[in-house]
Amino acid sequence: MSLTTGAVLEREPLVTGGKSISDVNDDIAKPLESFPTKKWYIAFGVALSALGFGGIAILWSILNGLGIMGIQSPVGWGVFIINFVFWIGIGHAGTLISAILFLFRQKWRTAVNRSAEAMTIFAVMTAGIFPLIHVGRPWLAFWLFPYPNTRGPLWVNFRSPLLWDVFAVSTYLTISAVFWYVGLLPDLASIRDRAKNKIRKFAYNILSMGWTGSNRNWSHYEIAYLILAGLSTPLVLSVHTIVSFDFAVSLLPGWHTTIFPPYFVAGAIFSGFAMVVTLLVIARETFNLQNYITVNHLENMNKIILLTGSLVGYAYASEFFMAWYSGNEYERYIFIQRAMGPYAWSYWTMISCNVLWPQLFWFKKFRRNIKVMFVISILVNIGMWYERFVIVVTSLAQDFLPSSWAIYKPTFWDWGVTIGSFGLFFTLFLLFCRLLPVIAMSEVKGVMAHGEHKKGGH
Amino acid sequence: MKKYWASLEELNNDPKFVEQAEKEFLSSPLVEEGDFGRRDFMKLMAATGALASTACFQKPMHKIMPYVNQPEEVTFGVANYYASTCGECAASCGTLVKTREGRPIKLEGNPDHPMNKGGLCSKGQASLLGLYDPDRLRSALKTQKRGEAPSVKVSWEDVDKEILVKLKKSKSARILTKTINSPSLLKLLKEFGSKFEAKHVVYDAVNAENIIEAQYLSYGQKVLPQYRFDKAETIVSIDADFLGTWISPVEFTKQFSKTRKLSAKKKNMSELFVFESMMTVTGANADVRGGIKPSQAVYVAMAIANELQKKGLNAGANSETYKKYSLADEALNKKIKSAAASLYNAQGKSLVVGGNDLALQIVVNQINSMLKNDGVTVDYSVSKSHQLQGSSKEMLELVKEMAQGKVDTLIIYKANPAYTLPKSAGFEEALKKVENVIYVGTSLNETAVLSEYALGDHHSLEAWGDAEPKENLFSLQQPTIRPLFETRSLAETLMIWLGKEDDWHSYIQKYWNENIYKRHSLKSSFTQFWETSLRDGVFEAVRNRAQETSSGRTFRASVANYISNKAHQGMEVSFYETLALGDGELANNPWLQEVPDPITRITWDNYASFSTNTAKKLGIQNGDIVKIKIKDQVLEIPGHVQPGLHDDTIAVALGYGRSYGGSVGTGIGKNAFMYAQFNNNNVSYLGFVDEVKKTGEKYILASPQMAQSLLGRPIVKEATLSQWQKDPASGNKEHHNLITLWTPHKYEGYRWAMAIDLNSCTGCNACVVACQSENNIPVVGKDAVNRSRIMHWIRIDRYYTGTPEDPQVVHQPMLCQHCENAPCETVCPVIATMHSDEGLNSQIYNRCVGTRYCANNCPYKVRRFNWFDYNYGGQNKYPKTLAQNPEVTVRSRGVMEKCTFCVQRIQDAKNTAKSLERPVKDGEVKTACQQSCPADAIVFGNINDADSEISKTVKNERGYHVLEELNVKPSVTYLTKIRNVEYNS
Repeated sequence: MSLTTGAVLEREPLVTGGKSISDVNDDIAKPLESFPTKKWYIAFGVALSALGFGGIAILWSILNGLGIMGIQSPVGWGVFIINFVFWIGIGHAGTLISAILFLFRQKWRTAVNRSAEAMTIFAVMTAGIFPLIHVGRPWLAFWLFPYPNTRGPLWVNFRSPLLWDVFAVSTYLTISAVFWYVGLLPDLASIRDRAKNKIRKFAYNILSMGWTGSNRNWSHYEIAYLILAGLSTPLVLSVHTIVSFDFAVSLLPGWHTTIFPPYFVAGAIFSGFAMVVTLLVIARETFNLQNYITVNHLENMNKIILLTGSLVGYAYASEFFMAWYSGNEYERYIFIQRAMGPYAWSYWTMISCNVLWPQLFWFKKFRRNIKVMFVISILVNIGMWYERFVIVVTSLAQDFLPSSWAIYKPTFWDWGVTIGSFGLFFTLFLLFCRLLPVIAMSEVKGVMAHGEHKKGGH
Repeated sequence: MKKYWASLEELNNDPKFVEQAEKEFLSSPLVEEGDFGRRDFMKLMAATGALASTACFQKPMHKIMPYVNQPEEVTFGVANYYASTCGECAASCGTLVKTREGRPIKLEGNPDHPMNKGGLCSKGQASLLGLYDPDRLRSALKTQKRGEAPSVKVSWEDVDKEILVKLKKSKSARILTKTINSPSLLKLLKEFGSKFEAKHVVYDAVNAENIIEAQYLSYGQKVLPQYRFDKAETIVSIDADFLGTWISPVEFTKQFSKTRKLSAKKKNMSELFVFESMMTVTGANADVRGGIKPSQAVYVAMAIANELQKKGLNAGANSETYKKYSLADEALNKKIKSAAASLYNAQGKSLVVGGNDLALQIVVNQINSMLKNDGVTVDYSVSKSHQLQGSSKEMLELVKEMAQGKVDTLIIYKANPAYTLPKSAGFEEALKKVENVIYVGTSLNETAVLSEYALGDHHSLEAWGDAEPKENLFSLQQPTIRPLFETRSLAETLMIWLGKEDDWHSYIQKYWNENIYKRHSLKSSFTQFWETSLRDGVFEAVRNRAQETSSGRTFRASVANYISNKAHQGMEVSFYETLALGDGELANNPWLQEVPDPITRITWDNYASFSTNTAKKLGIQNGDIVKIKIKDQVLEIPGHVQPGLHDDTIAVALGYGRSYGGSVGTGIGKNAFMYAQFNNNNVSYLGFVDEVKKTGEKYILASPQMAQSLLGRPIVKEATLSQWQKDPASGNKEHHNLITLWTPHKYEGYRWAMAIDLNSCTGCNACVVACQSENNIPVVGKDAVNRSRIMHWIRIDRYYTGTPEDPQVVHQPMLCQHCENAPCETVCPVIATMHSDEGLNSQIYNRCVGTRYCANNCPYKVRRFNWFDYNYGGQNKYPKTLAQNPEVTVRSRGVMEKCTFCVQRIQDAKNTAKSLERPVKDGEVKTACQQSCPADAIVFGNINDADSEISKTVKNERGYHVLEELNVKPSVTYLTKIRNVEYNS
């Protein structure tokens, strides 16, 4: 294919700076093989403090009860579930980049897939904490898993969307982790081979599972990778679909809508890509990887942000239309209240961050401007957090019987847990940057100008 | 045989050798040498390990001691009920005390009592908690130095010795009590009075002295009449909250609700007009309600009288007086006219009642006389009331005497003048001049701390007693538990001081034998009579009291003498009693502090209510602290906006602001008694306002309900009487044709359901407290209420319709609807909430992990989550824990709970039925809320039984389901509210 079109539409190179194959290893392995910089220490210190803060908040809530949080009747779910959905959403970009883009032969993914996948796993891990700590008796949270037990045996309720969540999220975490680890194997072997220190060599030797780089290794690897990509692809769509069922299957106005699954998936990809952009902008500056993670890569992601952001905007509009068109007075009231009620500030934060600001990406100038995209990516993440806030809180706060309405106010501890979740995520990510190659070295080599396969991809 | 030997030891049969030789091996793998073999070591280690690992998980042990000698009447797990009399207020309703293993756990209205007929108000329900109040006065205390609070414990023997000496020396003693309607105790007090020359002074802070005085002035008879709401077709109330706080509210609610019931046979209902300063429960249930200033009440009454004389009724000598005054307010005049028209049409079958104001009462008396209601709906003879006999006038005279040093000994029983009298009355200073002050009561309150002795009294559940709340109606109070503390009742104390040989119990018996038994028409022995009365709890000396009428008396008062010349201009404060706290004696009862006010829905505080217009004018929003200047005093209190108030009225609740109210009641709200109008030796609960100012500070008023309006949602449905008469389904036309994908549940056997008549419910909160008591519902406190975490399983939603100036109110009890397609059941991931085969939506506390998904998905928001450990923490200290119902699980932290339809009562009835080999009969299961309801608004039963009352009720055309369109199929049916008005706004 490239034979016929290559001459006419020559793509911009994916790796710039005239790097040789050995440069790739040197550049990417550098952060692993040298002492951390001061910047890393500061960042790690901040992340670890945030994590500690969150840890204390969680411990305090387990010791005293959920009453220390702002949730009440009727808003039984608050920041915990907001954070859960938010982090699950963040966890969507990684698998999408590595699996779906892989199947679609998008070669630019090679520079970003490793870190995006790492981000996915850390985000899902972070998200996974929330369903456990948000229950009233967290020490019994394992009752949500169906396993043979001595209580009857007493089974879980397969009709409950929360149970579907348990399956969806745990499956997603498992597959993503395996997929990521399999992809890491050749690089782990490279690191092992470069190691001068015995302990280091030993550790990476175990991690690389005896990878030798033989032909046989590679052919098994590629088949396994393809199968895993195939397995992961439906999960990208299913996880957030099922998370959206938590809301869509219930009967609350503003929750009980069929648009939720696609709307949630689009939103998840949207927020996931925004988070990837945020992280990569930082990573390429910190570790001097501008030649591997080029502006082209970032621009591609910004295009996806623009697309999904518009999809989300369409969903917002569609919800409003349906609220009016359905003639359901409870539904109508909720939507009017979203825009004009006590939580209007969160609604308009959401609209401006998610719908208005990403529109700047229609312009190439902005798409390729590092500063602009950094700010917008952060705005998108704020907006997506508030989207979940709007969905979770406003519907609960003003449902059917006006007598039970109440306003939800997060407390100090709610923010503690939220900050803690960012702490956990960044702690893990910073450790990842220090311990594993942030770019898939073996794959990048495959897409460099002189190493390019004529058939494309692997 | 020749013996060979190997050693000298063998030859000598040395015991050591023999022992060794008997072993097979010198060194055995089984038995090792030394004290501690390898195998023993292993065994011991294994055992130690096993023990250690199990011992670590052992839960703390609590030993349960069985009775050594089990009392004959006590069966484990089976409740005993004893008929008794409620001791919480002077109304003295009949109660049934439910006891388990010898301790009272629930109070219920006595269905055989002719007054309350099974109903019991929130205060009565909550008095159970008063028994187990940790702050109770537990023994006899004495001061170290006069002026200090009594703190030294003294034995009763010493108390008796010391006080007898004092009493003998005393020249002028007084006994100050609240209303006592126990005939035996009154006789004993008389005996005591004559022996020690001690005059008995009766003081109730909120009283009916002007009613009694006005009766005297109008008819020459000092009497508190019995009002017969059940015989009235038109009722006009002018500042008398007879459904909430006035004289005998449970009885009046029973009577009133009877006149409001509608059925195919009874197509008419009574009409209620209310003119009042604060919006009360009575006003909320009125067909026509007018907001007035407290000082306007008498003018409203006169305007009604004037309208009636215009229609041709004779107002006699007062005719000119009535013509002289008129009200400027057009809207109010219109309501007065319609009230008068309705009264005119119901002559002899109507009733006008009024608040505690002399002039008002005289006019009210004349109106009742003009309408020929006197003797019919106003019963002054056959069963006149003994319920509220106290007087502040007498109290103030006593204070004067005390100040002059004319009183040397004062025995105070339960009354709390140090709290309820305005400072300017000078009670505290006067008390210092009294040599001996002896306080008898259940708590160390404001008055007790000023006394020399504070003698702990029994709770009414621990003591013998009797009552005669109405003429010819006698009831008994029996102890249901041995006194928890070293207390002694006033009666026992007086018996000892009088030097009587026998005990209080035989004194009552003797009294009954001598005075009441002879009025018993049946020919049985006294013992039989006593036992029957004790079992029934009540004895009526007159048969068919309900049918008795007397002829009308001649009205002879001249109104003009009692009217002040000019109506007051400007703002006034109306001080009113709340349903929950009354005069403040019950301030230490957390159930009552936390039960939301039926109108304002605010808990744990009092506040100044302003009309919407005035609030707008002064820029007051809920929680803005205001300064109200009344004469030379300034009341600083949070403001609250109350629809339906007169623009010149500020309403403030009494009973708050206790300074010695116990650990719960102290310092909650402001003491409004201090600001009451005090002149001419009289106290009246209104104040003339000089100035109102907003301070700019904010205060949190905790309420579980924030939204006030229904937003036009079809949650409450109503119609007017004439609409209903034409079409019983009026206001209830909107129904949905719904389909379902689910296979419907099969209910073989029982299926439990409930119906609530919105037309009967007055919003009085009795059910809320009854449920709290029955189901061990924790109290969460003001902060948690403010954070919307109140735990009540049944709540009474209050909504307004109409304009803020002239609103209509509707109350809707809301509890778990036990839906057939329950949305909570499908979403619980661990199946902690299940549908039973009898239609109950059950919550399994043990299984619940607390995801709160069920509460989110409940459209009625009736599920309650245990945010903290409400039951094992510090707040529930001994002996409060004894009040808990052993049949209901006490919930731990982190689990969801909600109404169970009193499943324990259902189970109990099923057990009884099973042992008798018959099905449960209709009416055999009564839920706690239903049982306590004074208005009989709740029907409960088996809907599978076509003849049951519930089956018939749900088929009523007025029946509807809240949020029917969601197709959750609730088991609770509501009946539409019917208003007896021509217009419907």
